[in-house]
Amino acid sequence: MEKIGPIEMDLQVLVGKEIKASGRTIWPVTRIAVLKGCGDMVLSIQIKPLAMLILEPAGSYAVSFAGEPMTIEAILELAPSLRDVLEKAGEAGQD
Amino acid sequence: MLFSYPGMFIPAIFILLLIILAILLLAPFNLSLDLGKKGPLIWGSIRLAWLGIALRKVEISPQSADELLASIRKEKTGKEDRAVDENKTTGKEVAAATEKKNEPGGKKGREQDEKELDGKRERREKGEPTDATRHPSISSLIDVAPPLAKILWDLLRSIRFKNSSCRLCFGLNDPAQTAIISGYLWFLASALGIFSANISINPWFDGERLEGELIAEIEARLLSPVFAVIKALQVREIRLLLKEMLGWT
Repeated sequence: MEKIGPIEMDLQVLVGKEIKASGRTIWPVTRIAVLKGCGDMVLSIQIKPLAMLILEPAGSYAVSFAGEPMTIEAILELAPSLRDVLEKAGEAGQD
Repeated sequence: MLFSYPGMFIPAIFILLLIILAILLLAPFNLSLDLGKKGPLIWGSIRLAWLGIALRKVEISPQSADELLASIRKEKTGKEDRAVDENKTTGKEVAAATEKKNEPGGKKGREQDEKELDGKRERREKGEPTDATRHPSISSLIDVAPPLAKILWDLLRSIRFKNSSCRLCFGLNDPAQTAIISGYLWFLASALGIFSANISINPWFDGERLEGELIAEIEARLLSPVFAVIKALQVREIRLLLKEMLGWT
């Protein structure tokens, strides 16, 4: 939480709801910025998609919306909660 | 003294009726709402009052959402059971009436029913509206939309929000959706003109959640709806729509 006078900026990188499409599972990673005024009053919310983790039967990979190549490690750094998703997908693959 | 003169009796009654009517139209109706949810607990009270007299009061003592749903379901089942019992009784009455009709003396009634049915069938075949087909046409609805919107807006403006405060904290299973819905709610609050310091809508991005409190005192007078109805009846399009719906055209 960043505080600029009476205004606070709450920045969070969160994993969205999974999207399933033709055997693939897509996990979107978004950055949500909430600008709060006095008394926790929400002044503005900005949602920015950063990247997505794609799980396929053949393997997993990450795609960045910035247009640059992204590794699995980089997306895990952004959203550590995706580690569990990868582990579960790995277990399922082994089964 | 006033009623000792016979000529004064009728004006006195008239004035008395006017005073009663004025009280009815000008005395405000008050609706007080106090609803809340924190964790699994839900509580609330709804009170409708007129001239300080409570017309309707509903109290929800603090209980979990499951308990509340169970009590509503129980009430609903009770009502259904009562309806089934009533239907059984009415069924018996209908059966008795049919038996009466089938008797030699009930021939006239049967003929009348058959005539009614034939009339309805003929009207349906000709494309004329029957009781069930009195729907307004789309063009009438389009014509009536602007004056109706104006009247509804006047009606809405006559409702006064006093001491209202709303605190809502909610979260959906998708943080992006939570943020979008939060934006919609702020838009709605702003569009309804209730954008004030008493409203707090906080999005919760760490999972599903619904908590909040709504306290509102709403005041409305009967005068405004009565005026709105009179105003509506003065508009030609609305009169035409009503005639169409009542089957007078």
